Amino acid sequence: MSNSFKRNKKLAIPFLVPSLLVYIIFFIYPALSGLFYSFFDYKGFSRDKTFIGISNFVEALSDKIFWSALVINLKIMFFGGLFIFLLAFVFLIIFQCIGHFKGTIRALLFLPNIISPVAICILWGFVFNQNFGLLNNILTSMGLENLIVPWLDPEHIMGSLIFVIVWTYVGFYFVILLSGVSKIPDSVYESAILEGASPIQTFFKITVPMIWDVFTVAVVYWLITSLKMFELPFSFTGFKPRMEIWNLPIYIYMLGFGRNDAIYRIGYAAAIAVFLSIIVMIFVQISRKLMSRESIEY
Amino acid sequence: MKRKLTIVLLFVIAIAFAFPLAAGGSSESDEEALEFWCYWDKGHPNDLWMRQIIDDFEKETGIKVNYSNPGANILLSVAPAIVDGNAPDLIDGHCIEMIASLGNDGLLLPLEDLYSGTTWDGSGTFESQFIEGTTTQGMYDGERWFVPYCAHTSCFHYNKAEFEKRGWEIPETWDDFIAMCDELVAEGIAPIGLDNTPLYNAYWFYWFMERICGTGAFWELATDPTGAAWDNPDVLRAAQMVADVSKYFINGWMGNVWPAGQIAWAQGSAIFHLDGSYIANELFDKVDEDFEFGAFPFPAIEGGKGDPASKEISVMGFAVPKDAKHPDLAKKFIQFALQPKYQISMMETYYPTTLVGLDDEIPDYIKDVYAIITSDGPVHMMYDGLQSRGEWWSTVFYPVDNDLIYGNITPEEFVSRLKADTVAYLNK
Amino acid sequence: MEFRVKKTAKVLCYLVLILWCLIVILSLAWILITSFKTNRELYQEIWKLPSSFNLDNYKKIWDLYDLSQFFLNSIIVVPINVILILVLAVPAAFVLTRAEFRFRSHILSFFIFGMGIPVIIALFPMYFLLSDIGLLNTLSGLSLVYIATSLSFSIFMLHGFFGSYPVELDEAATIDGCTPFQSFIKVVLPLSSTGIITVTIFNFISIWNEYMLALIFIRDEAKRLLSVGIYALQASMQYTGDWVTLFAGVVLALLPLIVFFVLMADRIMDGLTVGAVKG
Repeated sequence: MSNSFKRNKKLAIPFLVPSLLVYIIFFIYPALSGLFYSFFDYKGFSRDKTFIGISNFVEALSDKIFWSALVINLKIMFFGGLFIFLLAFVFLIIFQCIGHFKGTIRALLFLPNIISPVAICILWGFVFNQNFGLLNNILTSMGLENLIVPWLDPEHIMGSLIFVIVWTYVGFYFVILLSGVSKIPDSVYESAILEGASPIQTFFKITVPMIWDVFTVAVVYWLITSLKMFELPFSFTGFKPRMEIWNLPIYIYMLGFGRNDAIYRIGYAAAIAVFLSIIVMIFVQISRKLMSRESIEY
Repeated sequence: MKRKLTIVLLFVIAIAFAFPLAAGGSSESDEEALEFWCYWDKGHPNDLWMRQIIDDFEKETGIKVNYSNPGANILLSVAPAIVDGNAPDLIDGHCIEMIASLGNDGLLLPLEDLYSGTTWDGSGTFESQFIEGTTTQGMYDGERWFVPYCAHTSCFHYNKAEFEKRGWEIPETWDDFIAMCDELVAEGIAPIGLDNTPLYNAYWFYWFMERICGTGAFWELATDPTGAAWDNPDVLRAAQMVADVSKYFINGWMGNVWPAGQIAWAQGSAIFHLDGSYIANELFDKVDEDFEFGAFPFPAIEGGKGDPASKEISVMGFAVPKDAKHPDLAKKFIQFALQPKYQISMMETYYPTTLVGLDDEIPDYIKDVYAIITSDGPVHMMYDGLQSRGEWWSTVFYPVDNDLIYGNITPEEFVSRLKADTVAYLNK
Repeated sequence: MEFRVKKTAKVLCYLVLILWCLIVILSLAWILITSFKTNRELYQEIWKLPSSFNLDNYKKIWDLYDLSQFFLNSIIVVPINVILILVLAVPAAFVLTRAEFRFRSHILSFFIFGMGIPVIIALFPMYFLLSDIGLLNTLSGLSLVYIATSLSFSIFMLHGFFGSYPVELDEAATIDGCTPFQSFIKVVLPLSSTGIITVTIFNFISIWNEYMLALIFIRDEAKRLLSVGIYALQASMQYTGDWVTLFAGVVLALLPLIVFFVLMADRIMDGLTVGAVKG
């Protein structure tokens, strides 16, 4: 390891301390206070709190809606992730086969990421609309009416939601993976081609292993994002989120902070948030363990 | 080298603290000013309306108003402010939202002295200017804490041009209404247009309960810890009628994400639409020029124990947090704002007024709705007031009600499931 | 790095990409075009061009909804935040990846652990904290919160990028006579520029679009951020159904991001072509 740092350990401190300070004071400390509410029955409008121990946690475990929200979370995480990374890798291979317009294409792929989720939901709301929606229009004009389903009814809405999620976020993961690819020196590829490797072979034998670190980062980040995803599913069904796509963050919001049919149970919301944090950390740890390997020396 | 680091760090800290200077410090001041947090988002017609009132108020009284727009999520800003000791002096919004959050815990100031005082121009008592039934929804310990500036009801909406075309009259009973729906079905036209949202899906069961079992019966269902209220055969009848009426919904309604359904109705793809009276406000700039907004109350049901003349009223208006620092200024402002001239300007965007005596000023689009609000008869709250029991409402009732209206369960299953779930919930 | 592939394969590749990009372009074009319509036009002719490109919606959001003020606030505050996050996160991530000291991996995990916490749970405590130290309703207070909540992800991502080049580089630089700090600036930063740029882009986008904290912690309209303005626009739509104006606001919020992204994209291109490791 770097001798210079071993000798000057004190250097590490000024590099690290400011971040730690800001992080602890303005995030960890409030977050712990918030999670602390989970041991209380607390409404949020006054200081009155009743200590109820672990009742909130116990209640959550037998709460139907908690479990169904969790299932929805997991579906988004699993199917969304599957399609996003599948597509991202496909784009990666394709990208390396073309010569022109790389910058433009990369930019366009990434673009949906920066549009605010509300606008994306309104856009796709119009596309999926069954009376004047674009999708139905296109299918009809191609003579494929029998493929038309009510895209946003209880049966199909998860599929539509996952499709929109994939469409929005695939560009982001593609760019991350691409930045990993960029660090692979050309010399490696050239020697592979000289030895007669096909693009597919090079992809699996060279590209994938060499971007494994970046890939891990991308996967872990997806796990976290998909489990905490709030705005997109929230706005997906107009402004009143339908219960068919209530995931855990939406449920937490409805419990403590919602309006219209607000429930005003901050303590219970906090308990569920604790569970969510634990679930996220479990997945993060598992995936980091599963995917960890030594950096490739080249 | 260490110096370089210190320089960098100092630089960072300097930037971080340059902010308060650059962006201006907190604007807490102790001058006498009214802190008014508004429900309406900036730019909304009602926000403009409010700003006009504030301008006039400041000019006439010389009292400064600190006005801000937390928007529809106002309670999310109000909650920590109250806990922190910095409650605003005046807020507005839906009465029903304030009931569960603030009203029922006594966190809102009683305004009885305002009500027994005079109107701004001194021509009568403050409370006498209100339509009956609009001021009594927000009460704690027998005292009113809410002053309404806008009233809504829910009813069937239709395009008068369509009725004229068919020579139809307003249906007086449910059977008349169904007969009309059957006619439409025979013609191949969808009778009822709607969106798939849990809140609006709940209209049907609520209204059937209201007409068949009467006011308070629905509330009873949600609050009886023994569940005996569910055994009433009329409840089953209400559930059955929900299942029946859903057959008249426009095809594919379950895939209608708000507001797709109401837009489709406004464009003529369905004839009837059950919704709140704000529909005119939401759609007036999207309908064809020859569309005429009409409305009729939920028809009477034969053999129903509910009073057919019972009308739903829900209100939006002002409230004053108990810990407000300048409650007198708040009351003064409320008194000022409830002048007829401001109600008239509010109605320009089709929000029905809460004051009596303005019959001549009602715009066409909301004439029918206003007629319902001012008709003779008892008043009941939207959803029998059950939105104030938010947890039962959204976690227990919604899923089962949705299942019924989607056709996934039978009315019998609806009743038995809800009975079991409600009892379990209430006895948790 | 471009592979030599058969012509047909190449054409297929282009087709797939172009199809996908077309969907993106059309979506954006639709949002843009709709922002020039009136609400009535929107519903009569959803997918067609408006009869006239009126700028009413844009005038409306600029003046009536005051988005011009909010835009200004955002365009100042967000880049500053992004820079501050880098100033804090890059050294921290570097030290946590490349240096050796006790508790290194624990501190790293401590940061990563924060990624799992939904920020909303800290909403009220943050409010009380800011109020207690007098930074409520200030952009500095909001910024401190933004920075604190972005550190987890930034450090995590930078850690991933920092970890993937050989240690020999640090040692080589030290042997060349650089102090650790100099080696940091001259060697590490350029090589991890891609990672830094990625983190910058991400933070910029997420803070630009964040509205909930900004809504609760800032009450003065003069300090309001654009994201809150757009959110208010969208929320009032629940009552007015004024979609076309909303789209004008969305386009406005989108423009700086596109500009920023285009600028950064050039840098990424440079980052991509620069710096293969010399063996």
